[in-house]
Amino acid sequence: MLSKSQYLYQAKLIIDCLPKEEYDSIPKKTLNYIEENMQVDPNIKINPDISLEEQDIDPQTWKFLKDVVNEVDSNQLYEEYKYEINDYVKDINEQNKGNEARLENINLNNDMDNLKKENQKLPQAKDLIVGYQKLISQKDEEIKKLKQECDSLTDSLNRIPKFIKRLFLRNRNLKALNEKNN
Amino acid sequence: MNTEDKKRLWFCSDYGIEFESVIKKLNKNGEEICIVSHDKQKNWRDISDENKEKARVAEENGYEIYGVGLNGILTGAVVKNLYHNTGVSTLEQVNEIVGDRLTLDEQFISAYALGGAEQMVQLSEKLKMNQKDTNTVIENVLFRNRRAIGIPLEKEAETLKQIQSSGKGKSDYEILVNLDQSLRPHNDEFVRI
Repeated sequence: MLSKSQYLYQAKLIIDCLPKEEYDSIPKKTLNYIEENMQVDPNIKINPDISLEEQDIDPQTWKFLKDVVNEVDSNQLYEEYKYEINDYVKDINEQNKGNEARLENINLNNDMDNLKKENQKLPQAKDLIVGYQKLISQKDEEIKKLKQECDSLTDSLNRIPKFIKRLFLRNRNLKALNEKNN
Repeated sequence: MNTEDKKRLWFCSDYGIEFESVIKKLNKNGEEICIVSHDKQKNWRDISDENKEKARVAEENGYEIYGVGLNGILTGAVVKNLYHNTGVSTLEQVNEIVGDRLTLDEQFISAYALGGAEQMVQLSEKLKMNQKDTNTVIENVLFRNRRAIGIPLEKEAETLKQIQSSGKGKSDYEILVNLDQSLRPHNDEFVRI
């Protein structure tokens, strides 16, 4: 396992073997970072005539080089598309507005349908409430009327001659009524 | 991989945003295409006899036969099925074969095909896009993918409303990712026929 300064030196030796075009694509700040942090080690050597897979490359060197490649790829991607990004996002924004409006419209339509259904129930509920209020308001009057009818019935019963009353009182219900009235 | 000098015949599913983009690209480049349906023709053995014959005749005439969204083999003809492999989307492979350039939109579709919203975020970082623009693009790609799968707008609106009322997502991005996750298990129910 190499130290940081050693694997950076190994990476530098590999990078130096790259064709000019590839070498130039590496950001200057990365090259400077390597230069500033590496340490020359005569024991570390790279043979440009043999593939890297066949040479003793430290795992940290591989990882560092992979990061460099990713950085180069990212930069190239950005350079290729940087002038298109704004127009693309603007276009996408417009599309999204349309999409959102469509979704909102559907939800609004669903809400409207639900409201229509609920509204259909309102007249029935209104009738029920009005009827109930009417019943409540008539309650005392009805009780009074029933009481009067009851009193009138008791008077009538009292006015019946006794012998006829006796006949009726054989009936258990009338007897009970009579006892209750008394 | 570029086979510009060869004649090609493509059999392509139109399921999802990636395959839809593939079809668009093939049409743009004047390629010959037969569209197969995702629900009934996922395998070469299931495609219609007419299309099988078409593939065999094309091969006899020196065509390369490609399958996008198709598995298996076709008896009597050599077919090349394209799949996502080692970080290369089907769309990118098609792009390379026809010798075209990926548009920015296709870059995002490829990223989505390879690794969903997460991969799109990585791509937007490379492109130095801000969070708001990234979310806008992801929202759009997810929306179009649901359209390309065949999820009805009504179902999407209903699910979106449920997510919003349940408070599952706070930001627009969270809501749209929740929406995608909620609808994904039902994707096959909405396959277009």
